[in-house]
Amino acid sequence: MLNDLGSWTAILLGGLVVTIQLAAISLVLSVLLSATIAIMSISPWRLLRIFAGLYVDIFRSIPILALAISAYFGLGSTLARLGITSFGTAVGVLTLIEGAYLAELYRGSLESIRTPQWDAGASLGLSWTSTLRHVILPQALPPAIPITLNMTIAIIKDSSLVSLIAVNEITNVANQLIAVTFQPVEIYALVALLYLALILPLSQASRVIEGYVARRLGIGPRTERERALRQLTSASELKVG
Amino acid sequence: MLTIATYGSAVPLITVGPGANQIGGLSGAWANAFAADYGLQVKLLQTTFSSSLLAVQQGKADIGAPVYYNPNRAKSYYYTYPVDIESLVVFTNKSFSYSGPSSLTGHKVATVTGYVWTPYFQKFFGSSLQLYSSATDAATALKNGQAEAYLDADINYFNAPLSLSPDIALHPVSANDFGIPGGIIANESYWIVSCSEKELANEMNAERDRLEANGKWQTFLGQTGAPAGTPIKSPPLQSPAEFC
Repeated sequence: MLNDLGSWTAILLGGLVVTIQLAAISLVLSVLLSATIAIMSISPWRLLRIFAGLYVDIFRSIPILALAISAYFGLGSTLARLGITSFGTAVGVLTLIEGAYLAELYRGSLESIRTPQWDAGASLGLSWTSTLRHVILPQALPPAIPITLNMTIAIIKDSSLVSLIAVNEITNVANQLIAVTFQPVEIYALVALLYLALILPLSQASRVIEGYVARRLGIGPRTERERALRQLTSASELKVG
Repeated sequence: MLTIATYGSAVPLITVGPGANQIGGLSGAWANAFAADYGLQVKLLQTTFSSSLLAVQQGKADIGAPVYYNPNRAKSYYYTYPVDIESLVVFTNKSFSYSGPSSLTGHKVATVTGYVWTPYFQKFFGSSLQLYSSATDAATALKNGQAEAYLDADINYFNAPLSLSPDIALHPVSANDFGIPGGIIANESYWIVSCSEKELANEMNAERDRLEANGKWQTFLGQTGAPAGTPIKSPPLQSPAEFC
């Protein structure tokens, strides 16, 4: 049994590498796309705002699985002509859908910067673009970091859906193993452990960075004493309520 | 209730639909006759190939749509008498110059997860093999040009999306091609039941004997819905070695 577990883990690790590659490329592209869409959605130009709104509404409404299957098989001959593989299709699908969610989160981050900051930029004679670049983005970026880390976790988990378009990521590899060994419980437990090993550190990092950013922006407790005081206050508020 | 785990249609072996819980083809006719004799209602659990195996193993379905035999699977299932015999072939476009397994090296090759041949293909092609969850998906990839060759049983030629397409060529596979032993190039398909339901397998076999004796099986062979010229090979009525 231990021998089996060892060889299954080795095979599953091959799939995990593909999962990591898929998630990493999709994340980089999603960040670029969603940042652009978020900026478009707060721009003073109406057409850009409409386009950004449409993009977000459309791609937040389509399930990943439906888009993956319809893109891969529906546009099959076109994708083949363009030399786009199942991996490339999966990256495109994950980028489009996760990018829509991330764009909304980034928009929230940008809109959390108060209006006087824009006014201050304008009073200094800065254009909209310069105010965005030199005043707004430096303040909006720190809170976006934990958001992005959380989204990384979502992308890793969602990537399992593209196993249906022949991407050899960890879930697909697990299904192949199960078809040969008929040991679904053991193999899916191994898959869960490998996902945990990948996601838990990210989750911890996200929490640490979130706390750091909150302290830097003055919206979180700076010391242990402050943290304890806040907990006491919220507890007494609950009791009163 | 007779719950059957299926993974799609493949005439003449099996058809699913068009209505809910409707099953046809050779194996469907067998199951329907069995259900009628015992006053059972047929319920289909439509899923992927791998999941259909698990559904039977875990008792979510009473019987599983016909699969090929392998000794490993025989530790988890009883096999009924066979339904038909299918042979492994290589599907390519007519324009593809196929001269044997080595001519596929470096090309995009598709097949389906879970077949008895799949581990041999994985060894032969490595990570470049495209593994799909159903024959329809893999055949669609070939039609779309996303795969240059598709490895599967000959009966898939009679089913959508290939459907006797004049653009598609079938190439036979010989013993030791892709490292596959001669004994499993052609395979019988069997209904499967879980190891804890041997009696059900025996009753299915008894039904098959009755269908043979009263001549209904011959009628079913003529009513499979398969296109004219579809080769249907009816194998001898015997179950393979069991390891439950």
